[in-house]
Amino acid sequence: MRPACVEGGGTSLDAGPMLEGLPAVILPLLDAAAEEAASLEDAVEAWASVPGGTDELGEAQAAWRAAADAWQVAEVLQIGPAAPSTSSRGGEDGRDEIYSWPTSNPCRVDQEIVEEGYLTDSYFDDNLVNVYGLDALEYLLFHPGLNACAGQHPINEDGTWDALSPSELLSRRATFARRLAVRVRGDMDVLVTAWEPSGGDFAGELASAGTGSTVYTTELQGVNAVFDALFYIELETKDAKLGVPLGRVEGCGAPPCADLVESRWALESTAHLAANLRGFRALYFGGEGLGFDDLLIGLGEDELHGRVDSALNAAEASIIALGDADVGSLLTDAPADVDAAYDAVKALADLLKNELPLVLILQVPNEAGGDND
Amino acid sequence: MTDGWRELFVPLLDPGQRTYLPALLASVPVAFLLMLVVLKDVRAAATAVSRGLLSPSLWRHRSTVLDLQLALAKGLLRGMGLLPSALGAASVAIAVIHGLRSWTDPGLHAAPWLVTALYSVVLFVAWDASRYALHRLMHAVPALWELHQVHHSAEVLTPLTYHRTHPLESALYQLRGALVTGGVAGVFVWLFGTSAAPAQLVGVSAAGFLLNLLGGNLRHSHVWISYGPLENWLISPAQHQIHHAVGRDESNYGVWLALWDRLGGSLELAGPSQTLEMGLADANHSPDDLLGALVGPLRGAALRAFPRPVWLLAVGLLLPVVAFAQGTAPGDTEPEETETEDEDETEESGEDEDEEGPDESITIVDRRGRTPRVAGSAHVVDAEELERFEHNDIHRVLAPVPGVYVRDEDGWGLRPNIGLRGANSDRSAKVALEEDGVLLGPAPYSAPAAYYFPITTRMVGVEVFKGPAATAHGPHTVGGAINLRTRSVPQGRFSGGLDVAYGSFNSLKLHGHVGGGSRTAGAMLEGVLLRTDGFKELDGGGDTGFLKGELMFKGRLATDPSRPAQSVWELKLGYAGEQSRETYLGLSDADFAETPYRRYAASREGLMRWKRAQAELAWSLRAGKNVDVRVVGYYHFVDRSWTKLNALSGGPDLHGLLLGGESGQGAVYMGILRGEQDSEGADQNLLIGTNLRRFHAGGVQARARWRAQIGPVRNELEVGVRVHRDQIARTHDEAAYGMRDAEPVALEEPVVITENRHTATALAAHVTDELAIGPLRVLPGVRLEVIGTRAVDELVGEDLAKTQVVALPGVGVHLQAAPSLSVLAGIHRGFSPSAPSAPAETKPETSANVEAGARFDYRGVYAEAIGFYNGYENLTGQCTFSGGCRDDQLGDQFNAGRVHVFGLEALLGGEIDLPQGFGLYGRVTYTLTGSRFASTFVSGFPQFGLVEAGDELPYVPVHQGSANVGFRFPIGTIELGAKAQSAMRDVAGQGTIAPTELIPAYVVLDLAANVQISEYVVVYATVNNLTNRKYMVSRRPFGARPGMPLQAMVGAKLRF
Repeated sequence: MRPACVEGGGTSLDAGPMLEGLPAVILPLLDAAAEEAASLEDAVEAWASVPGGTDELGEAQAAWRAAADAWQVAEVLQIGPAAPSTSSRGGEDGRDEIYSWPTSNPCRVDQEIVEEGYLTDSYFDDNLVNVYGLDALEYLLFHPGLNACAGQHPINEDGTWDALSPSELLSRRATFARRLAVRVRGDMDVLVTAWEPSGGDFAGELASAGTGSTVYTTELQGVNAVFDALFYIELETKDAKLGVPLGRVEGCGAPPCADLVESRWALESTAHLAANLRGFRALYFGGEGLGFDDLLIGLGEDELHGRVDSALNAAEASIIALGDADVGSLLTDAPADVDAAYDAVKALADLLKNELPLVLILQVPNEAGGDND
Repeated sequence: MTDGWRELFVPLLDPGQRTYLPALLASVPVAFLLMLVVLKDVRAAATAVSRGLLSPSLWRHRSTVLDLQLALAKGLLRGMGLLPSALGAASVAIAVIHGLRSWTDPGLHAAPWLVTALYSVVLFVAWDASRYALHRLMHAVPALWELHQVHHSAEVLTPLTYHRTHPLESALYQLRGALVTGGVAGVFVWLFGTSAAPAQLVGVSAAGFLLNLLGGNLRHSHVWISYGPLENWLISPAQHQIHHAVGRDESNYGVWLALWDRLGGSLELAGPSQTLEMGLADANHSPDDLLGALVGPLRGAALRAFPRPVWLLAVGLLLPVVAFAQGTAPGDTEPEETETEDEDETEESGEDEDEEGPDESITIVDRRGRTPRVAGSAHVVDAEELERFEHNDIHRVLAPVPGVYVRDEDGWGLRPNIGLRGANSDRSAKVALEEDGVLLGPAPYSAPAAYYFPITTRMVGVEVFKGPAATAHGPHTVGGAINLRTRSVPQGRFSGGLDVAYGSFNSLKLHGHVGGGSRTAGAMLEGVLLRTDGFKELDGGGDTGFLKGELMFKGRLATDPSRPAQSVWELKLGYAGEQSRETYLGLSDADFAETPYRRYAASREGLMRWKRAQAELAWSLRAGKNVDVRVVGYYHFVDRSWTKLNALSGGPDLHGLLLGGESGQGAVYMGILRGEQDSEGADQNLLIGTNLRRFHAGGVQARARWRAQIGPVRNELEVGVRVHRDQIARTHDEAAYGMRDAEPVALEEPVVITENRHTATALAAHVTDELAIGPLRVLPGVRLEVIGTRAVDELVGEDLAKTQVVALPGVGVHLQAAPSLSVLAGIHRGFSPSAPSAPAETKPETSANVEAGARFDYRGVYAEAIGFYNGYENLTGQCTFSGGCRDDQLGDQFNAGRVHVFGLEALLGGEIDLPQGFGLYGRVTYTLTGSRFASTFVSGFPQFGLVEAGDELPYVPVHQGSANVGFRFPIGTIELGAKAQSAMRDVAGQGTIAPTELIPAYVVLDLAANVQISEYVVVYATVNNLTNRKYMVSRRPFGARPGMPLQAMVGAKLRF
């Protein structure tokens, strides 16, 4: 689909107050995620001390769920340091350092277990994001079974995997997990610091878009950055997390594809969807302050805002309707419900993609036109 | 007109004709005797002849009436000089003799009777084979079949049916005859040193005469004369009658010998007598309608490219032009002295022409290309300059032309990106590209991206038109037009050349041309072949080179030049093809800095393949020195498929990825592109697709010029009309590939992702008049474009049709203020049509263009400075892959609203002659370009993106220039050329260019030297990028791309 675009004309958008207020929404959510990451670090540390302890493992798993839930809210807030360096102003790939699904590579994690690469000081410099972060941690915490590599992979062909006793395997997993949990907490702190006025003060950069910011030389660039972040629900929530496994977006050869669902090991995919929408809601409404809703209303687009609001409510309701089951099992047990969730999120995303840019003179992220809807 | 009346009776009175009256009469007894042999019954034989040949119902049949009418009509046309009559076989022969003798003189001796016998046999075989070949083509090529239907629509066959052919078909057969007879005769005279003639009877070939006498006319009759087993060797009348039967015309194409049909698998033996229904079930004309038989086939051929309404309109507009030309017959026009500059204006490149032929193409550019006396910017790179550097890359050829911006892509110029005065350079889609005055793009209206571009080395001139001069070209007049001039058919002697060069990267060039002729007939053949291993290094090794070749044939027939009005027919046929291991995938900045000539493993599957066929038939009429008309019918077909990496199945878009991509998920995807990481999961696959596109473009264009002195005003009126239709059909597929052990591996069968068809039908007309009063020249002009487009998307089910009508006025003024100083000014309307897939309300690109400047030329020093302003009301970007767009955006148009483009184009050059044949020459050019978007907006066009008022255009350098300095010595030259360009933006913006959007400034030096070592041989060497500078030329489509590194070539040119 060809992305919408606005041609000619100037903008009378006064988004300065919104940009000034948004850090007050973003920072607390990042803080919350950082706090959960710290708890996760503690819990994994405890498990690593007693790798065979089922209670310790259970607590570490619970801590991961809490940390992931908080992170899935913050994931939507990919503005500046958390955003991709490839496509965003001020982007430093902070999000990928913390969570790199869907590029996670379980086989590489298993390979590291065999080689114990995680013990080296330079592990995080030597490896790509697909072998660390919350996603790799999820695999270590929730997948006690066989390795994820193909039969002809060296660790299977050489017998190096099979040579590991169950206890050794468990021990290495726990040690590896501890290394990753420390890193996740550190990365989370880095992200928070990057935003804090006392740190990197990205909050100040966003607030001063067009009035002194070195990252956003115009206000419009700042608004676009926030708009790009909202697009998470189009590209990730709708397409990657629902559309691809359902086969409604290119990527699944023989639908449904349960193996392409997020959180394959902890089975938290439905909770992640709900968290994403919470993040969207926070950013769109600007919390208690000014948000896109206020921009629309200020431009006399109350009706459009009303439709966005309704669509968001409907999307949230559709996720709640999925219950506690994960998307992977629902694809076979209740595919109609997953379809309905996709449609509901799509309705919201379509407004975002097609109508908001026209009103607000915003640039639709390049990837957003590449789907088949 | 006495000659004209005589032409009417040629079919009956010329012994060389099959229907020569004695042969016609002889066919009756011959038929009787043959039937008597077969039937062994006098009465039965007489009845068969009576019914099959003499029956009044045959001769009074409406079909036969048309046979006669056509014979008479063609006689009239010949008499009027509109069809060639006296064919130039002798001229061809003379050219062949001269050419071969300049090589060697074999001096063979043989008894005259032996020469005659041998010649008769060879000529007979060559004649018969060539007739078979052309006849078969008349059936196989759809447009020719439309013409040949006239012959096949005959419902009854009589000997007169032989003349039942369309005039154009007759002309083709006559051209064939001239070439074959002239060629064979020339070879024999060369071999045996004496004039050769076939065994003759009554002054014509004995073989042909005897065969005509012995039944040739019975081929077109209803007398069933079969030769039995002999039909495996000779075509019988019955076999030809089968060929005329309804639905059975795919056999027995031959005339005398059956050999050709046997070889071609089309021989059908006649067998026992059959009752055949003659004619065509679905002819393009009524079998008894003369006008229909003349016009219907033309219409039929045209309708394959044009819908009916446009065709009718075209004819309606063409007729007045032709009438105008005819009306100004030589006798009606007072001869006037031709001005010196007119001689220049109409002169061809001068190469290989020791006799000046009629003006067969119209150009307004002074061939020196330095200080053209035209009202508007125009530059020409002439043959001499082209030959000095022997560039194969049009980008390098155009570097010294002010106001032209080029964006290199592959380093070889395989798919050029040329922009003029701010017009977007992407795939040269905003420039009217022409070859010999005919649009050369694959589908210049419906998909203007020029995926085909001719090999520059075979060109003898490159003309660039800007300012009001662009009004005579189109449809794109915003920037201007570029016309490439191909080699002409020699009109004086047999001549040719061979150019062989070899150099870096195992690069090879083979270029040859040979031709000969006279003022009335001639032909030439030219071919170029380029190949290289390429200068890029694919991860894991592999080919990154290309093979590209072009072949061009030109044939020329002209009426007697001593007659006051001369008609010239020219046929141009071309075939070209390319296979290149090209990709859209460039490099990340980090990799570019380290290894700029690297190619990632993910680009391994990259392969572009295309082929192009071209046919043009031109008719020129020069009536005295004051009127000339040129009508060209053209058809081009391009079939291309490009297999390449389009995108990743997940993750960022490739352009964005290559701008950063060294951390986070980007590093994972980069690892996959480099082959360092295997694909894991559905988001990490490579989407590799083949974009198959078929283009058709055809049309008829006419230009007429009339020069006259009206009072003190010298007038040169030019009227041009073009009816054009083109189409692009896109079928794009795509499949997921996984990266496995540094090799892309297909994971699935390709799926069609795009299937659409865009067509455009356009009527274009222009009128310009150059009025000269003393030193002042004023050139008002107007161009009209009526464009109907249709976009059909088979997958989405959309069908969008719309019409654009626009009038584009312009006027230029040129004042020769002093003998060495002139000033010029001009204003014209710029236009570039909106894309077929753009909604009806989408605006085309339009602008108001103004220019003013001065030229200076004094004692070998010349200078020019022209300021320009292009005020775009709506600048547009049109989506291509090469511009960075996605598959679903292809062909879409994005508006950018008002944009101001302004600048200065300057040129200074000179020559100093030194004693003893030595000399120095040099030239410096400079272009300053400023651009400003007037509004703030966002666009889906990747090169625009988020635009704020005041932003500058992407890919337009503020400063660019060139400097050439050469030293001439008695036997050669050595020249150093430099091209410099300031930094460019990858996307619109202002202020300091962000590092990720920067294409840095660069200077590139080229060196060329040539030495004439004998009268016929020149050796030369060229070095491109003398300092081996590593420089970036573009960040499109995906990532940084390098210019060509140092490339040295050494070659030799043989000319005879």
